Amino acid sequence: MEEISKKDLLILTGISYGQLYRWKRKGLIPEEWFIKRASFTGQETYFPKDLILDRIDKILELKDEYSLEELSDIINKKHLRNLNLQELSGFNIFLHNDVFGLIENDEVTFNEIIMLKIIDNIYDKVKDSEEIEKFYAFLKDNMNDIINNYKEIYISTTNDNIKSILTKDSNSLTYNFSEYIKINLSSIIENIKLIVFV
Amino acid sequence: MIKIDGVTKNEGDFFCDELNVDGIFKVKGNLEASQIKGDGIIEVDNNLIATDINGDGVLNVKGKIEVEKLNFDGLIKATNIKGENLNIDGSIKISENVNCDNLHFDIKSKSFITCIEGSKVVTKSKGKQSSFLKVNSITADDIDIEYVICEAISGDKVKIGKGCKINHITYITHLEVHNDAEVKTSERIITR
Repeated sequence: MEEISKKDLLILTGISYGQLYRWKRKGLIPEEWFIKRASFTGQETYFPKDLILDRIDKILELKDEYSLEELSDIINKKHLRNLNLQELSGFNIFLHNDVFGLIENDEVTFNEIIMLKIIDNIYDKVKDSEEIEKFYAFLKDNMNDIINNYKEIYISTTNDNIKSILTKDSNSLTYNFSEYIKINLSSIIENIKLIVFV
Repeated sequence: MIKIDGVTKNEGDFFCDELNVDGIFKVKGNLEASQIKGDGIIEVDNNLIATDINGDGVLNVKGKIEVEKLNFDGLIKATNIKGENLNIDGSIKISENVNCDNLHFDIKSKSFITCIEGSKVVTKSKGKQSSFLKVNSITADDIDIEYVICEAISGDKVKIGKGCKINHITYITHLEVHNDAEVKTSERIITR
């Protein structure tokens, strides 16, 4: 994943050091996005570029309307209400509208939305709809474990099949996987909260 | 209000609204209170979470301190401090980060912090032999420091006072270095 240094982040976004670290303190930017590395000047902080730029855009867009405490409550709250299908389609969360076909009820829980977003992320790689349905069933069976225990997961595919789902700490040996798709779960969860519940 | 006089030990977590300690109070878990007044020693095995802390003596926390306003004379030890306004006179030993809006630190004896992050960071010292702060990095909008030994400073307006030894400074609008300070390298960045 491409990274951006703290210095370049300030140059690019025009935010101040104080804002950046206030947002970290209030829980609006996850601590694990601040990656410290030794550099020729001693030490520099780097960030996952796409994630941090996305998040800063979102905070700048919302910060006049909501207090930082309110935004932090939205990002960090655990119990979230269900959405009906009409509400869900109004948010344009998914790139592939076909994922709506996987929904069985009139309402979806927040955790189900996250599982659908995972499917949305791999949709281009796996075109077999039966395979997608099986995988969605697997995700739904394990969704509490996935959401509560992992910040990121990797999904590997071969020839349109989903071969395995690996976690960050997984020790599995892998062979001949054409592709891994990295899914940054904590970022997906926080971003969807900001889209849906603000 | 709960008042602790003498030596008291609490097994497990301790929650209250106002806490007034005069003596030694040991908490074998988390300590959470809205107001803490301490005169003596407060020891916490986990985290200390409070709105206001006022006092002098020793604050020895094995976990992190989360506070809005802290005014303290003496020694503070913790892994992290998160807060809005911190006013400390004495010595700080923080194994990881201090993240706050304002830090005003009067250095009275040898102090260590890994990173300081915030809006405004001010340190003062009379310059006695051991009255210095050693820190890996300071990042803030306004930095005005004395007797600080630091690898990397990033700031908007940066004033390096007497007794400082700094490896590298990145600044945006202003840099001022005292004659009695050493700065190896510095660079200015232009933001939009």
